[in-house]
Amino acid sequence: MTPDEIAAHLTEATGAAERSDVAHGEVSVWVPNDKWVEVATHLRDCGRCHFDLPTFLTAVDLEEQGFEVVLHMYSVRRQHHVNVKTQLARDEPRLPTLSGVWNGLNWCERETWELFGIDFTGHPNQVKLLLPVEFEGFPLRKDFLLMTREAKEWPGLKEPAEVEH
Amino acid sequence: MAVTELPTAGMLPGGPGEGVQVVIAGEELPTQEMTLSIGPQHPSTHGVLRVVLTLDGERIDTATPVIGYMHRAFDKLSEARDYRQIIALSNRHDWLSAFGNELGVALATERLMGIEAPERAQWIRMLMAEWNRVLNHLMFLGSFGLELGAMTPMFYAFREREDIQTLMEMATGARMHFTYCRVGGLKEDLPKGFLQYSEVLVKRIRHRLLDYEGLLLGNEIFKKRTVGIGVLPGEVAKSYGVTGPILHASGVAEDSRKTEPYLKYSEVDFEVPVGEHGDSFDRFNVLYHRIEQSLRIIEQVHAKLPAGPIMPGKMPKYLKPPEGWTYVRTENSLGETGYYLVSRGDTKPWRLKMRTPSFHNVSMIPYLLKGVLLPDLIAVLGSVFFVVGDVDR
Repeated sequence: MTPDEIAAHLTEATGAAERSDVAHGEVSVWVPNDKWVEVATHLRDCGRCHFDLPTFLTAVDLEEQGFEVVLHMYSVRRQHHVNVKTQLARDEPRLPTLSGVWNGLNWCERETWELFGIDFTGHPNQVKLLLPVEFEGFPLRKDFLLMTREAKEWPGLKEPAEVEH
Repeated sequence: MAVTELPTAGMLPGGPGEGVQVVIAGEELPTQEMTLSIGPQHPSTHGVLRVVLTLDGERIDTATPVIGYMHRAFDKLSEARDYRQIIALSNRHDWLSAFGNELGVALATERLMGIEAPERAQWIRMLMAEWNRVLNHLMFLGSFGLELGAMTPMFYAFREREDIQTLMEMATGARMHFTYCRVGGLKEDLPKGFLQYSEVLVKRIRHRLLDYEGLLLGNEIFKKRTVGIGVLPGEVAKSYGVTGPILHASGVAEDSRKTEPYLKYSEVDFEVPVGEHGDSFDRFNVLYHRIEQSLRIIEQVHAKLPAGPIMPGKMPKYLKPPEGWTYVRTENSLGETGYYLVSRGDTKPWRLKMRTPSFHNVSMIPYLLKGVLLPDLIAVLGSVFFVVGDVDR
């Protein structure tokens, strides 16, 4: 399916899409939090979608607007992509887990949990993956400061764009 | 057992060997599970990967990879860097496919900014990416043999790698971290004599590949240790997000150079080698044949390389991609390397997510090791080709 067809199909079949957008040949579909698992299961089971390869799951910090969780799926058989997105409130961000739908999202969710502090309810093994166990804070949130850059904006004499080649 | 059912790392006994008792098991005596920690410093893990095993006799019951020893916060660091600097950062984590990683950053930034690299730059990028692929695969061809007790292939592989690194050094000035890509094109044009040496090397390596075939692929001992070991069905591979040679070995010919050609891959002729059974031998075999295909592509680039500039005429002083997002996928040496780039119109990305193949490939290891005999662990781990820096980022 083309990106536009995927957007139309998901809006129609799940009745869950809030809005969709096609940019640079790729489709994004925003769904509400409570339809997250339902939409993911549809992506897997629907014969027209047939999404079978989870590419990645991550989040983006939108500051006041909370977080946006992004799930990118690819279909080997149909050779099309989709980005399913959902927005979460900033205080106590929570989303049901998809690790039961695709095995490959288990680690992605653990990573997103430790780096953004998004709680994936029902996750079988939500423990630190990349960071040490004693690490505190959620490093990829925008309010987690990169201390070296706070101490000194840029250690070089010039910004890279100012260097004459 | 699915990964979801695995015990957490925190629930495992504290240290290696803790709680282990030697029990002479008779018919009526109960046996006890044993926990064995492999790594982080173990030759078969190619770096600092740790695998915690629970053993039932010689058989592996569960395997839990413990990663993160080399986490270098690529995502966070790139939020504090200019797009040009990110290129130098992105080729560090997977030290065996440096050029392939730079390429993704450049392509993602170009797509958001609406720039297209000149023809010649695209062809040279393809040439470099394929040489990098050969460089990467040779490393694994050699090290897999070494892990199974064959020392010679490692020396052979390094002999060939040395030649290719000399070639890459001619153009880029570096042996490992090339930093040759630029947003918009390339750092410099190819130096004099590069293409001639490149042609010589293609012939030399193609000839020497026969050595590997004789030493390993036709070797009875090698076959005995790898055929039928660590079988990975295609459906399972896909559900874990496994890509690249490991997915191909399971019979799924998904390669973005074919399905969504970027650069000039649609203008060259090559095949995607696939395996039948998805066992360790197939994974090795696919890797071997991928080198041949890469050499084929390199030869076609030699013939078709057009003249012209390698950077667009005028590049903005400050790279400020307009507000938006994109996901660029490239077929890197070990699978799909992708960059999910979110820009807010600044000189630095708002968010840059790096999707690496090794991360997903290693997350599948618990499935592969379940029920495998301990001596086969090496044959299985060695055939799930991964770079630890690429896992941890």
